[in-house]
Amino acid sequence: MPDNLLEQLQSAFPGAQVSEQGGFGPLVGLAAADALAAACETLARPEFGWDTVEDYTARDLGTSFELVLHLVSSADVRRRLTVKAPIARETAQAPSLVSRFGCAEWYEREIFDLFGIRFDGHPDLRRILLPEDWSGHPLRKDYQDERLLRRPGN
Amino acid sequence: MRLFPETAEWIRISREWLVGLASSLGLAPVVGEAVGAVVLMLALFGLCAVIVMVLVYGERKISAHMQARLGPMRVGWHGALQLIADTIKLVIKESEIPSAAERGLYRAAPYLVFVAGFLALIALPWDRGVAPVQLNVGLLYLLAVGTPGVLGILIAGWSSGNKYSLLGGLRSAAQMISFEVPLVLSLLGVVMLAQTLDLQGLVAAQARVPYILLQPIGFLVFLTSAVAETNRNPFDIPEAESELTAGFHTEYGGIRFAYFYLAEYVNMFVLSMLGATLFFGGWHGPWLPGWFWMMAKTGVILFLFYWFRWTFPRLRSDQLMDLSWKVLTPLAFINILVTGLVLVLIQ
Amino acid sequence: MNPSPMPPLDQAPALATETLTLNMGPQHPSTHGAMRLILKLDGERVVSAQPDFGYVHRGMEKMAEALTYPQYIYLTDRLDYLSSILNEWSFCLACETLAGIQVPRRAEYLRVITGELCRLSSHLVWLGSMGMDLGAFTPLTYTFREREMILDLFDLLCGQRMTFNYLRIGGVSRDLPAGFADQARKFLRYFERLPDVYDQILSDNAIFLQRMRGVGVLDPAIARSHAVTGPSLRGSGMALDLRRSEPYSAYPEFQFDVVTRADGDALARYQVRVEEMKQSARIVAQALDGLPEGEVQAKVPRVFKPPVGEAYARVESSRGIQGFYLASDGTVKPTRCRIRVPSFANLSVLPKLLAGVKVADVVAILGSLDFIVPEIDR
Repeated sequence: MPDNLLEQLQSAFPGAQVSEQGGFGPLVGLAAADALAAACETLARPEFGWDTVEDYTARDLGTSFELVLHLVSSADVRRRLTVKAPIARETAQAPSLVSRFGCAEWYEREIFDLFGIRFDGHPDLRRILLPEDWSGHPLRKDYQDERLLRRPGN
Repeated sequence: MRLFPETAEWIRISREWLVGLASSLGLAPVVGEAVGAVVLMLALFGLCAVIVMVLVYGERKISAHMQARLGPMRVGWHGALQLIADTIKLVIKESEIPSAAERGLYRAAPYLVFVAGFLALIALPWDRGVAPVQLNVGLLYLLAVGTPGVLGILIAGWSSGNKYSLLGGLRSAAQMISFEVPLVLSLLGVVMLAQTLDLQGLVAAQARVPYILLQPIGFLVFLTSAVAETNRNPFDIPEAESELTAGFHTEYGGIRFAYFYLAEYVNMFVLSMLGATLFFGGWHGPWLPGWFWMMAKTGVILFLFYWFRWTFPRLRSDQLMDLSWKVLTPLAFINILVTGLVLVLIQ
Repeated sequence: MNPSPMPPLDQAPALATETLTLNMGPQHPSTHGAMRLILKLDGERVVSAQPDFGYVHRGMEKMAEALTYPQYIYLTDRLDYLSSILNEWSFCLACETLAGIQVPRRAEYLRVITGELCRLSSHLVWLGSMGMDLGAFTPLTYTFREREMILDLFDLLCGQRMTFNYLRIGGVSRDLPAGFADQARKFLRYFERLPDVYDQILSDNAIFLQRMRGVGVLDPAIARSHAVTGPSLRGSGMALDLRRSEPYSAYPEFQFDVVTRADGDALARYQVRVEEMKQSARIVAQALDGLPEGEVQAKVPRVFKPPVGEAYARVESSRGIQGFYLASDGTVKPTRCRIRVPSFANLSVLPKLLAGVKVADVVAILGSLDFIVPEIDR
């Protein structure tokens, strides 16, 4: 990885936090989820070359959500990059990446299903793993279900 | 030189004995003939059942050994009585008719299909001079009598009241009708060589050379069409389990399903026996009785049926139709042409 | 009686047709698991195909938040149960990355041996069921007979024929028993000629070729856009194999080919997998020959508490890139366990692949994608 890659990324994303992830390539922490689509477009440019999604998921950080996008470069798959974008817990909304990546359609449905994050611009946002009439979003930290077994603490 | 007296002799002797018995009891001779006919029919029916049992057992064992496994082993010695157990199971099942079905036709369809196969059995030449019915247009009769079978399948598919059965029935019927054409055409070459439609005559004409050597293409076309006629792999897409529907017999269970199953094997047997008659020389063969050779040759073709089923993947519907219309039918026509030319040149 | 005159053919009223909605599954021999495929048909052609899964959703990602890291290993087996070792491997890799644990060389070799045997076993199952879906029933029994020998090896090694629970954080749970190497070599010698046997009964068969050639062509750009990986991607010409492009574990020390085919149809994907079986056998042979001495598990604290951080580790599973994204908050349980499964992305191209094909081709395409439903549902 070129030495000034982190600088290049920082100058391309001034408001973001760019760091190195201990062997996994750069981590670009965007300031807001709205910037995600534009960031993907920038990252797909030839000088960066991260044009393919490998995994697209979310995390519940307790006070907010976070979208996590693992990108790889189709030219050289050793080059990985992670993009993170925070999402406010109250609104739980983000723009959809469906127009950029074909796989986003299903990945975003899964994030919606398990976290409850709605994606603007998604053509068919409905549950994908859980039944249609399920209430609640299980991967949230505050998900309550009396059927969840409580194990004695390890 | 034959080791045993001719089978026809046995039958003639039995018939004369029955007539003599009737006369000695004071009844008209025709009663003896009638009783003889009834006994013959029952014997044929029983023979049919035995044949199917042997065929199904053979299929299960042969397919098992081809697949590196053993097949039925528990019921009887090496599973010989398995089919009896299966038949009992099918017979004691509840006979239910779907509410959307057309009741009369639904009930009639399996018997139609079975009767078509059974009717064919009575004209086949089991031995020299032995056939339940002697017809001098035997071949024509055999090919014609298969028609109720197709009709039965269509009726079964339609009367089930299930759109998937209907689709399966239509596909089956389309397939069977398409392959009738090359089937019949492939046999014309044989007829041209033997100059007769009488099945006994066709066998007699092969006294020196079986027709497979003279009509190899005809045999190949016949074999392929026969496999397709019986809806067997590689042409079993209407009944394919891994496809979307189970075909025309989806809504049939119990003894009605047993009749379809029976009918499939009787059809296989009839077509194999036809193949043995027309291409392998029928009951010709040294030392052993003619019916033995007939059965042996039929068995060879049946083995081919089994072998194909367990080896090949299946063709898609359109590929199947292509095969029939674009490959087999032209081949059969070429065969007829060549045969005719050769015959004219020889004379 | 005069019948009313028929209108000329070009003026006949057009027949109103409807599309037929057909449900394939969730119980269906060809969907390779409990998955439902909602097909809209127009005669013999598929107008649209929508997969519907979730029947086997067990909440594995949520479960990970309630179990400790070592406790979770046996559950990872149950994702792609045909290649269990490979799932365990990516999870253990992620844990080891989080905690900075170095796996001993002997353990790496053992992981490679068991992992490649698993891949071989998975491809054998796929080959048999692919044939069965197309109507060739016999190859199934043959491939399962070969697979029995592999399962016997695993039985000897870890007492299990499936879902092995063999790997541990820092290595593997036990060393090879006496006789394993000999039995494995015997199997490899037996297996050498088998891909040619399968070619004879399946791949070279004219009917098979007719049903697979040109069917379900996957454009490489669409494949990349849908994050397709594994043999399905390599069948479209892209040489992406993690074992070569981002080698992990002991793979840099082995010679093997990355198999690709350019056509992108079902036949290409089929050929890639059959060739991969040969390559897997090759790797196992090399690993057995070069097996170093040493420990089989690194020194790992009894209570495994990785420092705060994240790790995303992937392996080349038999279906594609399988990875675990673990986030640790310093406690014994992960705070986020994300499972990246290859079949999820591979299946996302299905609506595009199935549009406009004939019904009978649906089965061929499903089989050639080689997905497994419990992995998708997690």
